[in-house]
Amino acid sequence: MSISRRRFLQSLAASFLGGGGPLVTAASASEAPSSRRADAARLAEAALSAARSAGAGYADLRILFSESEMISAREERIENVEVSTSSGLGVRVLVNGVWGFSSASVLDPAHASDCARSAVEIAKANRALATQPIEIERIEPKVDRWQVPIEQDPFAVPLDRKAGQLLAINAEAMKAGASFAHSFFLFVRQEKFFASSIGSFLEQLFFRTYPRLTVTATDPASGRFANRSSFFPPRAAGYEYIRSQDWKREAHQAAEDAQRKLKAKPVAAGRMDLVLHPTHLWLTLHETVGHSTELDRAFGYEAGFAGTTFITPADRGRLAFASELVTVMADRDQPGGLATAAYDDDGMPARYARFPILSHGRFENFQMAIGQSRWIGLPHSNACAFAEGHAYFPIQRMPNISLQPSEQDISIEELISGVDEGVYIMGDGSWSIDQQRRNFQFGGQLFYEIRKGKLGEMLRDVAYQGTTVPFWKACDGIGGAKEYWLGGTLSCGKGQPVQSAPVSHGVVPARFRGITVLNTGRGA
Amino acid sequence: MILSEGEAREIGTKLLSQSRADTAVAEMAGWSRLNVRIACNTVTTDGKDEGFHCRVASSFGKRRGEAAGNKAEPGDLATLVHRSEEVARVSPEDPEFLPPPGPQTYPCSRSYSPEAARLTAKDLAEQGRTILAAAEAERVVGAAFLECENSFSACMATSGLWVFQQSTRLQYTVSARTRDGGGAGWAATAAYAPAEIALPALARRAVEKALLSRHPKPLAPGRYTVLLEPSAVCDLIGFLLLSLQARPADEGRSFLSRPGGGTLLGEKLFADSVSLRSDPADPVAPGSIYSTEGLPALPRSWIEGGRLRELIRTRFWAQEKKAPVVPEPTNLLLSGSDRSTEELIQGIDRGVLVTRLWYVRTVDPRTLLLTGLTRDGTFWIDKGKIGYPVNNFRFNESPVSLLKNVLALGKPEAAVGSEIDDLPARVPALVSKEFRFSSVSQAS
Repeated sequence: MSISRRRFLQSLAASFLGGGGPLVTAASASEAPSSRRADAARLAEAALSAARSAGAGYADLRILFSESEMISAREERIENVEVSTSSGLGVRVLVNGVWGFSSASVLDPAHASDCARSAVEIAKANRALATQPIEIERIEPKVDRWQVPIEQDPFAVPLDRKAGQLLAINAEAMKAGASFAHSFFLFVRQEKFFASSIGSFLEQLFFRTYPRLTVTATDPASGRFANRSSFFPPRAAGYEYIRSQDWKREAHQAAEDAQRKLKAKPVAAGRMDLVLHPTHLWLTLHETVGHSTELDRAFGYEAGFAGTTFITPADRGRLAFASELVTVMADRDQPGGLATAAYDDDGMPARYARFPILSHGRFENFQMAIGQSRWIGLPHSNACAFAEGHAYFPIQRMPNISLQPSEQDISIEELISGVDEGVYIMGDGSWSIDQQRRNFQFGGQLFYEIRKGKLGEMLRDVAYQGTTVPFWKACDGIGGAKEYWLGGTLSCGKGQPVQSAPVSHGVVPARFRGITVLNTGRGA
Repeated sequence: MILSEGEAREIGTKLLSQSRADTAVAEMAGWSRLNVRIACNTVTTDGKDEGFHCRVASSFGKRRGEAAGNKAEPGDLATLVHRSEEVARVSPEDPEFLPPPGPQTYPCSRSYSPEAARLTAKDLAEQGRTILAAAEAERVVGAAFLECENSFSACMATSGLWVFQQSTRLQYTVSARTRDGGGAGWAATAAYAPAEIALPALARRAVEKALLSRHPKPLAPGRYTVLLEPSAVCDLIGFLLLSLQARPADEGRSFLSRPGGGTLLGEKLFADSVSLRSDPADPVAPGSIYSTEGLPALPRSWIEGGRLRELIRTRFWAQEKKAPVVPEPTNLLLSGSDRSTEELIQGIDRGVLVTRLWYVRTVDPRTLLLTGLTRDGTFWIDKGKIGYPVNNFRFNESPVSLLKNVLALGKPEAAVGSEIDDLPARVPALVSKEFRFSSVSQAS
């Protein structure tokens, strides 16, 4: 995950319904205007026929209409309100086993045709570099529509009301003793049309909502300061997600936590047991399980940037990755999931994305985009492709990837009760992992000591280090379904040019034995 | 979409003529990008992207709103102006709002190359062949990413502010892995003109590192003298440079805050040999001639002789603190010496050479403690020579300590970090003592 200058100083970070049931359309959400659909069909026809005439054996395109709204507040002032719209199309072609891609932001049939011809020209230019031709599987043609079900369109809520809510949240935090409070609401609406030369025409409408509060407490005398961010992750949802949170309570709690962190006890470094809350564990799952099980990494496609993986194709169905308690499923149908969709960006139906990644600790299957399944002798991909926007080539990206609950009704308290000496961690903090997804280090937001099965004092300066497989094999406790919680991120980076992808991770709390804990305040 | 200065000015003038706000600022950017990506000794993806972006900020009194879009048609731009005004009208007053600055004088920067702007997919494919040939000659597995960008950026305000810059940027990274996956090497560079890039040498460096890094010997974690090659320096010093923010330091929530109040500005925090500058006119790593709010990116010394000389300060905060306005830097220049990397190695009795860092993240903002990993070529230096490859490491270290413990600096060169990859940089290899490697990474 690369960061840019612009992103550098910003620290970004349900009950589970199984089965791929019928796709839901929310009655109250706006439907795509039919004129846009007709325009998209015209653009698709122009691009696909130009691609065919220019010599493409296969072609597809994505037409995106995106809208976002970012409102940020600092203490008692609205810092910034920005509304943004963009649209464009990207055409991908396969010419004699070589991909070509080109994009345009002017949406008319002439530009769409030019774009397709340009993609073919690029593919032909790069023929000289192709030592292994790309072959793609046959995909069933689909004509379909789908949208993220929402109750309230966030873009229909008046701006001043949203700004007012942010100021109210900050005011609560300041009232509870915060030195500083920064909050934002980010809303994204994305309409995506997909068309391909095999006859697919898909229309999907996505909504993403991300509210965040970060509270800082300072102690001028000692120079100490501490942050605490809200535990509300981004979700595929409308404004109802904002309304459903108890902001007053969260703001107060965050302010109190930040102040307590200033006086918290430094952790004593060593090997100890950890109980990880879902608000923390989702990120560990993302980095260690999510990325290590990407097939393009296993074959070296990301060798120069995001990296490879310690898992080999021969490990499918064999590698003991985790303890038997650990089952991790992929899906694209979880309510609220940021990777939830009816089709991926290759036009593959979402039902293929429901598969086990880890089953009772054993590694079962990789995530794949089209053209990759044949590498491991499988007939088709499992709907794991995504492109950040119209100007991006679709690459293999995560669906929702979730740690399955225990069949028993195990609570966080029960997990804690089994620890003699350890640390309980809430919230995601610092994160870093090597290019083969082995050695990792994670921080967090809140740390509490565990003594003789009971939560003790708040700790500070905690990070833990480990290696992916031994860490997951050290898991000896998994929470039950009542503890299930959906975390996630809008900005998982991969690929060159680097692309950002939204993904969710359902998690339950879990216990890990004998993990190395560092004190980061003493030079780590 | 590339616009000439005349076209951009015309669009900006038309756009602002529609404004009914007290003030308006229009930022525009357009680009044409080409890329090709190689992995497993074959082309994997490629692409062309022609884009345009415009952001309009309007204000009524102290009410402010922004609207952005990616269309350059007059109707679309008018919509942006009106949308930004709608947003401003319903936004609460911002006590920190300041009207846009008036006309400014900008430094010169040679950041555009017609040869770079003319590069085609065929040219990139030819360069890709050079890389594949280098990998195939040594029977290693090659990967690369070649990207060229031709772009313009401009800023116009109702206050009379106008700035325009045309730029080109080429960024090439080459990776190589031995067929057994046991050895890996990497090399990268960036330049504004093709003539500045010696691609065969770049490819050879990555391939040689892959071959040299086979069969690493175990080395225990601990504190070592390190020789960080320019890419690694770029990442760590880039984090430091972008963290030199006045406001958090004044507010008591930065590694630059002084206990009891005040900041460490003016203090000698680093070794005498450390001088960190930014200057858009740098011939090797030219930067944007303007920065935040359209302010000129003037040449600036951030650290001089080990002393902290400047902090980034917005116009509002400068007014609050009665201190100078200091916009964000647009490039990163760390001074060095004339010494080659080989000469730096000769001066090290025992130490670790690091090619590249990876996954660098902040652990503790109070000390700017960072964590991350070594990657693609980590070697033991023994009695002034590269001895043998060693395992990769996780480090937990602050760039503040790194620069305090500097022993030697090499010759500055264009560098691309793993994390800080869009800030033009010219930095040297750097030798520093007591760098903390906290655990071993088994990744190869």
